[in-house]
Amino acid sequence: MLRYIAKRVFAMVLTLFIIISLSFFAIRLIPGDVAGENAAPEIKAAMEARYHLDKSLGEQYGIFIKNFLSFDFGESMTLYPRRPVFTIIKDKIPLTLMLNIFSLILTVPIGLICGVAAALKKNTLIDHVISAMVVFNVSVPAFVFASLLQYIFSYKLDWFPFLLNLDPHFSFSKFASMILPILALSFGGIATITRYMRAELFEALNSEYMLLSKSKGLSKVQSTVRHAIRNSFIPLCNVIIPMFMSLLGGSMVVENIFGIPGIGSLTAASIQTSDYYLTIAVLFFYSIIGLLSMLLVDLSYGIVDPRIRIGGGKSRE
Amino acid sequence: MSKKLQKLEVPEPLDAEKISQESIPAEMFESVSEQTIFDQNIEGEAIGFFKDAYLRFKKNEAAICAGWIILFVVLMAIFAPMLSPYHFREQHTKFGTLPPRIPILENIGIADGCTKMDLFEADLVDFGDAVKKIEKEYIWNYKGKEIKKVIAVIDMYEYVGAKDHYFIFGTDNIGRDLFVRLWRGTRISLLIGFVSVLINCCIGVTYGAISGYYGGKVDMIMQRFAEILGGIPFLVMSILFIMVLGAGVSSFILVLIITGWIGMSRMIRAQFYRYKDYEYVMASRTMGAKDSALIFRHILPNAIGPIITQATFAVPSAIFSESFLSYLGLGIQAPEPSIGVLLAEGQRVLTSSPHLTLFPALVVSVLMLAFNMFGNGLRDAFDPKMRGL
Amino acid sequence: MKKQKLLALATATILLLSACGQNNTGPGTTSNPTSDNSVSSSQNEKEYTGVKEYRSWTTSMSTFNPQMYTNSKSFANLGSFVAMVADKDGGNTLQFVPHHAAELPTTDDNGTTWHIKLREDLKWSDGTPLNAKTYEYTMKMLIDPKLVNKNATYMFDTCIVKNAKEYFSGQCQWEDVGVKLINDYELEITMQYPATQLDFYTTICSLIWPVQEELYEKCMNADRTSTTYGTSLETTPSAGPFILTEWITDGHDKFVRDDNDPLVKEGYVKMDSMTRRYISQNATRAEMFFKGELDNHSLTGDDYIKYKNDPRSHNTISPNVWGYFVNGASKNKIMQNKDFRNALYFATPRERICEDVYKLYPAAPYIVASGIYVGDPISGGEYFRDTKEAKANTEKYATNPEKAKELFDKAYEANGNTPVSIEYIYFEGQEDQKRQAEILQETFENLFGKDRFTMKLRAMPPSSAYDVYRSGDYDMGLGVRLANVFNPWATMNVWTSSYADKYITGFQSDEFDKLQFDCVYGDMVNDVEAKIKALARMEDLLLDYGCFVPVMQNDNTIMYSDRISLPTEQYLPMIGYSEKQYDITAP
Repeated sequence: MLRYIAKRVFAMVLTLFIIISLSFFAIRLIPGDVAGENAAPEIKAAMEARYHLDKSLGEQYGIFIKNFLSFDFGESMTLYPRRPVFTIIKDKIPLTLMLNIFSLILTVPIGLICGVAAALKKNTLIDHVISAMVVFNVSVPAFVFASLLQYIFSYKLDWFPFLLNLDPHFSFSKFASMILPILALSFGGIATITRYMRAELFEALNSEYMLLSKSKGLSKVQSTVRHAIRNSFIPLCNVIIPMFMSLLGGSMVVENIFGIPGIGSLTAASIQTSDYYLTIAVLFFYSIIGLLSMLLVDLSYGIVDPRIRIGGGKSRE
Repeated sequence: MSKKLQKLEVPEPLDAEKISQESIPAEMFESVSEQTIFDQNIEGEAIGFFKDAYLRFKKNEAAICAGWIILFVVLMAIFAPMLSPYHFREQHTKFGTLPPRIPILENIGIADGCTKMDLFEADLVDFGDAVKKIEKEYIWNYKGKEIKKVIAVIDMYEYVGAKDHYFIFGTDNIGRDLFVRLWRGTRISLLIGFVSVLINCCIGVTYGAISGYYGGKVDMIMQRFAEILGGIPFLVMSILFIMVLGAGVSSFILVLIITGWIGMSRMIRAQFYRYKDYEYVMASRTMGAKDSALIFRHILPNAIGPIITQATFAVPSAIFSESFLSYLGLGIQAPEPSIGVLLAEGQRVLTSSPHLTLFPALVVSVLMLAFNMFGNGLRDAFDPKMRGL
Repeated sequence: MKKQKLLALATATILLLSACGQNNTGPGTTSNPTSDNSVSSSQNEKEYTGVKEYRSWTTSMSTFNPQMYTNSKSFANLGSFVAMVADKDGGNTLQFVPHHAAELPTTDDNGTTWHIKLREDLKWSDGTPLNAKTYEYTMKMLIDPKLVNKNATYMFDTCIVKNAKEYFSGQCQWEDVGVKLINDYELEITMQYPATQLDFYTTICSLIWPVQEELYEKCMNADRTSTTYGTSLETTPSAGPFILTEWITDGHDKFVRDDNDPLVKEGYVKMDSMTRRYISQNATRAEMFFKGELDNHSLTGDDYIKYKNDPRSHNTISPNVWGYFVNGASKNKIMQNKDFRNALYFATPRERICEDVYKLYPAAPYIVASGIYVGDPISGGEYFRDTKEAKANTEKYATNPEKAKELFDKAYEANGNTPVSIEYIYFEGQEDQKRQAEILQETFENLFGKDRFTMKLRAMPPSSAYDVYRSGDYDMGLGVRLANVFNPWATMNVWTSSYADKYITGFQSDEFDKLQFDCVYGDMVNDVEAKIKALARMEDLLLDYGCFVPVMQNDNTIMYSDRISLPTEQYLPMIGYSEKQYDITAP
């Protein structure tokens, strides 16, 4: 197991290195100007020195990697002039994480319930309704769905506030303002889990061991709950943890629409204002989350599925 | 998905046995039992793999229907821009953001080019004959002053003087026909989807086949490479690349390819791991078949089902990725539309001109649904065990 | 960067609306109800005694560092020597009042040396005293060669403080710079060239906001190249009519009135607090405004048809003209042809773009915007575009497709009758500008003939685009050169041959250079008549060469909710409706 983890971590480090190198070349290749629009030449020259643009490419690369590994991403240029990128990201992480975790808390049970219900009641009305919902969810882009939610529930019906309430204290109105963004965030995830759960459970229900469990005298409920559902949970961690990553991607859209000052809207804004240092730092943050969640998947497989722990590799079945 | 697909049934490797049986002279056989065996004769012809799949697929009405829908969308994407009276770039700047107007439906009050507007009574003059109906009159109080307001139904086509035009999906804000732009955009989106999936298949199949077939060190190195590359989140990769390359059809395809082939290669590799130790493969190897023959003639065909299925599912997700990037402002260059660009443009004015979002969203939905159903149908057909999942 | 501030403080008056194209029809109908309202609102004023909170929005909350900001939507917490306010007594006029200064700054040698006397009881919101030393330190830091502040140009752009530029580029000592501390409450500023009172008040006195020395030093990094001053609530002290009390980046910020501020004491400020919410989606802002959750909303072209005559709508007039740069020095041979460049000018369908795409912006067949004011705004002057010199230009350069076609034919022939292909750069992610690009493409190709002329479009982020303009590696590209409302001659320097940060267009004219210098620093400084003529001539020279094709002027229309009462019914140059002085008259 230990060797297995070490192998995974090593691969992760290599990936991270590639990402950093790609970022470096991206920054160097993008046409653009560190000094910003309408800058005087005096400012320009000084800015170039600040960002080490006067050094050789090799030196720049060295400085770049050293800075990245020490979480020194430099300063934001256009979006938040003079603010260290790391503090910007650090300030914005908690809110995004909070909303994403809330949404995960909502997504997983609902997705599981829908998936189980659809699989057990296959080809009944319940199944069709759930399938229709899944189809709607997978076929409407999140940004359209989020603005529809806002238009209907905030503007037309007046049930929820337009934007997230930013009070530092938790209150009912703050809770109410969190409902729409969480819904908007959850919507893709629920569909994914439902779809997955329905497929897995259905396969499990039709497998030989279910026949066996029935023949040894377990009732339908017993065999379903103890064997089928339990078994179909195993591959689910394959879905849930990376889903967190796509939730973060969804944040870019949802945060923009509901006025949430988090990482997602920061990413979108940094791309739109071409604040490259900020963009690559945020992307680096995403990469780390992505890699960590992959590592978690691998580890959880090792724990959940003993075959992997012993065999030492999941790709070989 | 790939995990499940590996459990595909093997077509029975009958040929080798048949030949060896036939070459033994009949007199050398001795009857085991005097009794006649009353087994039923197998009736009908032997059915090949594809034919079998086809027969199964044919029974799946939803999938057939989805297939027709896809065909219809593809044909529309190819021919609608050619047949339409408008060009996708043709502007009628006077006819900006007109709602849909469809010849027959307009008579029953649907898609008749009218919109409801909340106006000042004094402004009604501007609209002249275009005012079709006054739905409500009310008084609006502004700083103690009472101002008359009306909710009026305005025939936008009459207002702008476009009575002789029918924009069946409406127009965008410089008066370009959304119908043409939408199909043109669908063409681009489908192009991005199909081409990227095709290339991914080629790379993925080759890579996976080599890695799975040879195994050992080759496999390990290739797998590490894929793993490291696959660790880069799609979002990160795509944003970085488009930032550098600039948005365009080719850079979108490139972004979708860079990590897109990995899923396919994994699946293929697993297939090879499973089948390369089968007896029929060994038999063929002992009879001197070359590696390439083993890979392409004996093992790869087993994976055709999963390949097609996976490719089908990949097309709509490519279209979705493209629309997400467009929303972030990384969409393809004007004046070329794509579904993603149209959606991103529409979202900004969702509440004032919903038709600009509605129609692109409908096409995406239909495409997604059709591709998914079609993919499901294919999977069921190629692998009956998975039916209904 | 001052110029960008002016962008935000875009100016207008109702008087001028008639000159702004057919879209703004009906100013007559709006002005009547609004003037009635000012009467009724003053009655309400007495009735309303609740908390007066102004709820606004923003799309950028980058920094409160006054030396670094690039977008200045209501930096109401920051002080300055002189404040500009709408004059209540005189009615709808601009007035200068001393803010941190005890009296309006004076000069005794025709504008070279200025004396600024500060009030003696000024304090920062954290209690530390604010005096002449603070301002001296502020100016020193502003042009610090190592800090490289974006707004350093405040010290040497229109009004040039002696040796400020040299100090900024590391060529002299601080002692040589024309800023001298006389005592704790008095500063002496020496200029390189004599500055007019108007220029001095509107630049040095209004744009340089103080920084708190102790905190500024504390926020400085080890090698003194950067400071985090003004990047969080803790590092942003206030010294103005409002105190910043809450700040969540990209969330909201909140200001509360400071009753110790001189302007507040004199009764210029009525609101208790201001909140700005960060809202990026225009649709959301509109919905919130009409639900009564926001107090102002900037109309889009689509809304304009419904609300242009709404009594809540207020027009503004911008001092800036948007258009596209045309590179006469491009490697593309056809671009070097003057007839071709002029053909582009006359063919540009600016009226159509404005009426059909922007809807609320007037077309601009000119480079000097209608928001530009010449003469003294207090004692009387006029808008440049109302002068006969300007009108002659407008007439000479009216949009004219036939003429364009003729010119193109000539250029096409001169080019050896070979098909022409050019590239146009527009800004990424900006819907309307993309539309403008598409219209230009379609119009040009149809007018000149698709077989003879093709135009490619290319999207770029604004900063990359401007960088390309500097390098000269482009044909045409969208953009703007910001202008000073009261001193358009100063901002014409971007076209002079000695301007260091030029966008390459190939334009060069000794006559232009001389006129520009004489109007800003030379012997024409105080001769308004001659300066108007010179401005018209400079515009003529630019249009004749065809280095910039103007398209529109971004005059926004802003809606104010009915609970807001504005201090002026006329949009005043430089300060607009004077946001600081709004009053809330209903719950």
